[in-house]
Amino acid sequence: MELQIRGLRKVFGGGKVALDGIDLQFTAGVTGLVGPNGSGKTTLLRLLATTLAPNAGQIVWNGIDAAKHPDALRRDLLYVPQNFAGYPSFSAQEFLEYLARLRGVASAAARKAATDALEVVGLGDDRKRRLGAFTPGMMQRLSIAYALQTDAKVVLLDEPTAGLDPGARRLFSNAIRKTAGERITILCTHILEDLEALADRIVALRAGKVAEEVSRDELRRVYADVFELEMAS
Amino acid sequence: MKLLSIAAGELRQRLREPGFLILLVALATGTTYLVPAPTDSYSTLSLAGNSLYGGSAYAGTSAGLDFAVFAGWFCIFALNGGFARDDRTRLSELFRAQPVATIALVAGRTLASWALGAILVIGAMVLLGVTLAFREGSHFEPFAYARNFSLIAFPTMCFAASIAVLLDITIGRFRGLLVTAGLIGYILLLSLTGPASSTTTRSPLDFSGFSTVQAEFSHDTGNPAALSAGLMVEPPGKKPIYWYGLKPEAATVLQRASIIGLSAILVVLTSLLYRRRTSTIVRAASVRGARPIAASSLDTIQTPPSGRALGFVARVATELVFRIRRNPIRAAAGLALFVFAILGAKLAHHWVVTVAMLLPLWWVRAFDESLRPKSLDETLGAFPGGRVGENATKIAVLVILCVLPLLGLAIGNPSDPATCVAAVLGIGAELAWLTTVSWLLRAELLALGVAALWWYVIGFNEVPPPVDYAGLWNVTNATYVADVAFVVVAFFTGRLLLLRRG
Repeated sequence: MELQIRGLRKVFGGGKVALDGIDLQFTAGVTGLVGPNGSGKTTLLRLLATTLAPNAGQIVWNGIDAAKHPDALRRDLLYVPQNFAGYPSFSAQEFLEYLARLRGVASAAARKAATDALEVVGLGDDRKRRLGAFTPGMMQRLSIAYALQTDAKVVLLDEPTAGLDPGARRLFSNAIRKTAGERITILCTHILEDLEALADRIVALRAGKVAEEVSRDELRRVYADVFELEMAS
Repeated sequence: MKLLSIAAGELRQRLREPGFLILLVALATGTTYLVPAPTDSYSTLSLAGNSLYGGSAYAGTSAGLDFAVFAGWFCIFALNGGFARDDRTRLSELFRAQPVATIALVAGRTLASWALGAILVIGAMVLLGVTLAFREGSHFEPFAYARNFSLIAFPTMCFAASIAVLLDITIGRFRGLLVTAGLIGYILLLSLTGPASSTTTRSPLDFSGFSTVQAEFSHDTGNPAALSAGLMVEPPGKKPIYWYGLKPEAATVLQRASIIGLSAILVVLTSLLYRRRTSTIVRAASVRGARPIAASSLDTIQTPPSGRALGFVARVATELVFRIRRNPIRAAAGLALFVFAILGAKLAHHWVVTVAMLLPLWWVRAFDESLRPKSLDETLGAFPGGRVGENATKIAVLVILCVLPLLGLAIGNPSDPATCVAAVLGIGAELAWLTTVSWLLRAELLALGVAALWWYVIGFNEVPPPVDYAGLWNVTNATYVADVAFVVVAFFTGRLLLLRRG
């Protein structure tokens, strides 16, 4: 199980270079992506999620270039974008079931997985409520439930804990840690505590390039460097 | 100043929506149909079966009246103030917190809608004017034409825009109710204030200008009979009546100005109804928070289930099940139409197809695609097939849901496969329009409005339409060619739009 990116480059309209030919390798465990706003974190996640096409470079998943054959990666992929949203007319239970069925999970198993996941994130009583009536915090919990109800091998999480209360954040950390050994998890966040609790290694991006790639031990130094902060030890 | 800034901002946003350009082109093109040439077999204004004709002033009067009536119909949806849109995207919370008076917030948006209505009037008027200038040559009087067109059409569009904002604020979040109430309310208002009024007096509430035209006509010709607007065929033996058109008299100008005043009063009333401190989303969500989470709750989760790669057919089947489960009434209606089609294939073919043409308008709303947030786009785009596959799946499901009821025609009348094929292709063309404009260009109300208007023109008028896409009048080669061309263009446009998005 290996995900590699080679010379990945993305240029948006107007010539803005979001990613400038980066090379990275991901193995099982949690990789934390840090960097200032506009450094290319979300673009990198969207390229890996195959919802954006690169201008150059390769995304190699188990020997296949997913930049050219995105379905090869999509089968094993779970992407939780920033500000996770669902169909407003679907209930929470229906929406999770729907996503599980799209992953090819059998009907009964999808129903059970959705019910269990909603129960775990504290939305058991709200599972028949329409998503249009959910608060942003409830939607964030729903995104955790989505991440829990699948056995995807590559999990991409973009700012997953923004707006969560401490209990939900602890749940999120536990959930990611519990499954981290069996999957590649790429976590993009500005929250230092989440990175400290979860990340096995840190990749710092700056201006579309990899500024540093270090182990968890050097997290605080890298965090201070990349955001130009003075940190307490 | 703040009011103007709000209006300018909303206007800029709306003008940049590709849907508006399509609306402008569609309306302007449709308007050229409203002034028939002397050789055409239909009229747009008539008196007890006698068609009316005249010069440029008459062309401006009749085209302005018909344009206002038909365009006002769906501009009720297309010219809304964007309040419901902002509620859905949660942008409204930002606007509600601005240091701007509520009336300025509402009036600014309404002013933008008026400006959009004026742009539509001017666009249609100019295109038709150019057509007439070529057709009439030196006889064409541009001032008389433009004066009468704008005198009738502009106040009507102001009124339609004000009603649109009122509906947007009060019931905008209930989209199905909005479409139904808007259509019924518009027709009711039109019939109560226009043709039903006295033939010699101008009704102060007549937003369409119908009583005004009728009063001046009665005054000029001494004929008090009621006029009819719409596309009508002249019965044999009837002689056309000449009329110069509006002059216009002071009372006419006053009546039209009073409609603009009425539209402004509506803005004030609307601002009183705007509940600025009660966002639709927050109100619905604040009833009960989620339960606290115990640290040990994860222990209840067992190993998550494994999936398998779904083929296109399996994905369509999955989507179909969810959509039917979510919309049992729509599904039951489709089944009822299937039975009706079998029973009425020979005797009520026209009605079967006319009702079937409503199915796409109804079903396309059940997919929640037109306003879905970008992050949902990305969540679903990361599944096998990507966005293109996901879109193709949903369109395939829509086709099944809308076309299957029509197959009853083939069962009920197997000796006439051509009408069934033409109707099926017509539904396909309608779906191509709806999904492209509604889902990909995010202009759902425009797509529904144009399709509803076209449905009315084809299903209920006396004049054969230029493109009879469902073969309701006659199944000709042009029907097949138009439908196939429409689907092909929509396919390539859709693909291009999806690729551009990522």
